[in-house]
Amino acid sequence: MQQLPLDTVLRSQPGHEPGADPLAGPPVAVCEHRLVGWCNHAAEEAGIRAGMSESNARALAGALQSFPRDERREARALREAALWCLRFTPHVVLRASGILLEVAPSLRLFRGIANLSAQLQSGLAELGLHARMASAPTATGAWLRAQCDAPAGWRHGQPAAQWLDALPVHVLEQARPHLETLSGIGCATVGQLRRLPRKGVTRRFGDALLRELDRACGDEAEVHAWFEAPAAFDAQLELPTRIDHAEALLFAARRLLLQLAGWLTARHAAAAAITLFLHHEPTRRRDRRSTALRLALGMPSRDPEHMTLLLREQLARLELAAPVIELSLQAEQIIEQAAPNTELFPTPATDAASIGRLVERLQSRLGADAVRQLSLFADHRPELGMRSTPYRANAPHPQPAMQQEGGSHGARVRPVWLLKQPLPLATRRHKPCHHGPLTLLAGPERIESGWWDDAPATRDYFIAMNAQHMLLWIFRLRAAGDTAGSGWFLHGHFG
Amino acid sequence: MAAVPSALSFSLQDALPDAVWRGDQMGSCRSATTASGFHALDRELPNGGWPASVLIELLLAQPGIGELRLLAPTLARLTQARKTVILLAPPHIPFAAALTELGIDLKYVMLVEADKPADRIWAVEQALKSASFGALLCWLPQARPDQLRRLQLAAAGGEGLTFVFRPLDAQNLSSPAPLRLVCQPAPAGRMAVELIKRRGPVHLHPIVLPLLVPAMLIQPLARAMATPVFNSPTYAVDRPALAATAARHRAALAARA
Repeated sequence: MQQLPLDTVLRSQPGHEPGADPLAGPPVAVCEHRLVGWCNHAAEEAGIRAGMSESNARALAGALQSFPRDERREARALREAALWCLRFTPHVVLRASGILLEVAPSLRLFRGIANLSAQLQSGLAELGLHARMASAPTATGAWLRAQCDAPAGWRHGQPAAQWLDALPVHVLEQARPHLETLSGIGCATVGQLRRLPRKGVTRRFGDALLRELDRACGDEAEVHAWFEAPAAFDAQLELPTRIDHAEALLFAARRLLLQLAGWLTARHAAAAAITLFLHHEPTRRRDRRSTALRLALGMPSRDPEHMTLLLREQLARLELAAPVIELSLQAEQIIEQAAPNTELFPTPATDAASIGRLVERLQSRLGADAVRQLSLFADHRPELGMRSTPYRANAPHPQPAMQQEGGSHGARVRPVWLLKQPLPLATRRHKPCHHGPLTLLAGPERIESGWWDDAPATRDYFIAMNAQHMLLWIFRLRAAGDTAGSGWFLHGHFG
Repeated sequence: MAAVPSALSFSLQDALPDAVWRGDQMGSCRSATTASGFHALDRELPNGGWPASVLIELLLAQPGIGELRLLAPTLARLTQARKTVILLAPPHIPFAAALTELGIDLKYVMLVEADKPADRIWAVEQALKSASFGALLCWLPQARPDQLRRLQLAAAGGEGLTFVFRPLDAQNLSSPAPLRLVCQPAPAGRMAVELIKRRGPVHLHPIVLPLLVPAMLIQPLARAMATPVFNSPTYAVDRPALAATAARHRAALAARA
């Protein structure tokens, strides 16, 4: 990552979201020891180059924002990136200015190196980082290739020596102190260096240079200290500005979710509940308030896209009490779960999983009670003859109690639609009317039940047809004294 | 280059059966269809059934005219194949016992309640995007054409049947749904279905479909048909005992007056 110091600064500045025009915005430079080390496009347009002194750069661009290099923050950014990389392979090595990944065993899963690097790159872009990627059969080889400006694609089966020889010699870390001597003896590429006698090279430049070369060619074994994911996930993110709108937080929260995704993959786990804390700007001293946003998943998941969707709905409904300056994300319920198998054809299992996700998404906006399922309940009163319970994927469905009764009530005919409230009907010439007079087709079916609770029903049900040929389910109260009106009610449609 | 002319000499119709459509033919697309359970209807539907992954618009004057009995054979088959059927914002409470009687397995019925029109559209879109349902029935009385177009695009990704119920006066508005049906109740518990838009020639006469009517209603319905009851001033109850009671009551009222 060549521009890590610059990225670290830029991503904590407002207006540098991925996808923003790189030439827009003020010129920014990162300085080390009063010398410009890295600068963005706008600064380059103004003529600022790396290696210039800071005061020179200021003279070129008055609006220049210069920042000192902050290595601690760089290391943190790199760790965040490494967490995301864990999604692709368990073998991740942190270097001072980059990350090494062993991807050979993952290529098949991610359908090839091009696909994998595209996914990797887009995740890094969302984290606000830019990386120059290169691949090679050896870790050091890949590292060397990533150092030079335009790494050409490496083709499988190409001998290591061929592409290595073409690289300029300055990519070798051990060669940096001797660059002048090397150019003095006409040695500009790695190939030319490799053709020098080994003994002479050792005598002049030390043992380390040759060993780095050997590692790149695969002649010497490499030892890596793998990056280990922390035992518990708890990530913070300082926001570039105070954020007043809940929806604007989603973008920042996504950076945290990407890290979570990598962490979950590394631990072969899925999250069942995560909590996003929104830390508000303190209004007084020592008055730190925060809002906790809990996201409970019906089905444990490790998919950042899915969690982003759920979070978006939650944030859309949220009213912020105060501007937010920091976010932190904690994974609370972690469940061991192997990665889902990909299926060639949709199966009932994948259908059930996506139904579960749909339910979660609907519930996150419409409320937990909005998604329901129906079941029969043994009661003769139609309005109590069924239960609707919040939908739960894979829930054991309550056994319909009525089935045991057998055929004794087989002839009952029920309408498909039941009105929430029975609709009082007017009568004309003692005939119930609903869009014209009704013809009674069948009935009465007497329902007299519920004396034991507070909703007794004594009704005679009829099936009627109106002038529009609609089939209606109407009833007449038998105890007519307690209601005004005709005592006829519409209770359902045979839709 | 010499091989190209011989390739061109194929009849365009034979070479590209799905790409060329003539106005007098029934449209044929490669998408799967599900038989509606009514032969008369299947004959008129392109590819002989409800098309998947498009919006199917059902225009009704009011809910409760037999729309669920029209779809019941399809829904029953889907739930028995363990496909989920989603009822989105239905106008009334779906009665569990009646659904069971129509052969629909309640275990695979999902009911989504959404009151606000914006929430409904959103929920429909989410369901369409998830593409995990067997059939989606949604009631969208206030949907605008641009919203429907968006839903039609979302539906293209899935494989389920999507039925949109809209009021009858929407038939004069343009709609992106490739299949639109006007449903009207017909005598004797039947339903008159008119295809006002389909991928095929213009459909002229409404089809009258014999919907499933409970056995105990068949005779009374036939009798109600035989006697033109609606304009006659007599008490329209076909049970002699009840009619006699009513007549007595009417006589008593007249005497009192």
